[in-house]
Amino acid sequence: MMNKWKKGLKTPVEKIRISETDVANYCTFIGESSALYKDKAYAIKCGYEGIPLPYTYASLFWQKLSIPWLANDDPVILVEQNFSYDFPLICGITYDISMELTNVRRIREQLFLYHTLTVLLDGIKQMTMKTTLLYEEQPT
Amino acid sequence: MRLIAIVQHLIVTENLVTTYANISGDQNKVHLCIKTAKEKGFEDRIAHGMLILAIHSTLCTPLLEKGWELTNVKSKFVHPIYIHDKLELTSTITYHSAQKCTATILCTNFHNKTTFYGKMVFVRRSKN
Repeated sequence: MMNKWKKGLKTPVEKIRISETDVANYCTFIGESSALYKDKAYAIKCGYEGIPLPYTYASLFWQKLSIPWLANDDPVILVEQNFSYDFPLICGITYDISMELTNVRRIREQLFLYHTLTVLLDGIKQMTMKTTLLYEEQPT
Repeated sequence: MRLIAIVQHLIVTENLVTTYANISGDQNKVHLCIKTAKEKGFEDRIAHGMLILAIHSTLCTPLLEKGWELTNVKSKFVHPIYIHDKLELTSTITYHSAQKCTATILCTNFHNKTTFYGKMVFVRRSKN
């Protein structure tokens, strides 16, 4: 079963651009009411170049990528989620995103899959998101 | 140093989970089908961890409006969150200096069991 996953597997790089409407809808859904995510002038006054993406928004980038080693109905559970920002992500900017399977570890009967999503702008890292998934293997 | 805690209460609804499944594209049946969830050993359908962390993230917005920039977030999910769970989301500022600030992430259910926890690091935004 572990052959399905190989450390170092990578997705192709995809372009992504999040609109102000996308962020507004996401914020409404999570109950975020701050003008920081709706009003560009206010966001600039707060020190941003434009409307920033809420830090958890990057987790939605998974769906923008075709991840050949992981099917949507795979029995995986989120164990750990880490975000590291060099720069905030801003609405309307086109970023390059990609995902790498950085490690595969079996601890006793449990299989852990370690992923890193990287977001670049003109080749410069903006943020990374590290996701650890527990794969629940089916008894054979 | 003065500790400042922000608390929010939340009931996880079916609508919240199904809507997030559509938004995120995570249609894993443990979130949507009771039968599948029980077959996997859960008591009921479980909420997406990222859904609840996203709701928790709203607690840190006041800092982002006051000149702080979020640089690091670490979160660990240790107990399933079920549909209909009543949750308490908390963030407490544990360290604060002129240039750096740290805050905890904590989510407990109504049995007072921790479902996820973590830490956020903020730095003062540079004025360019």
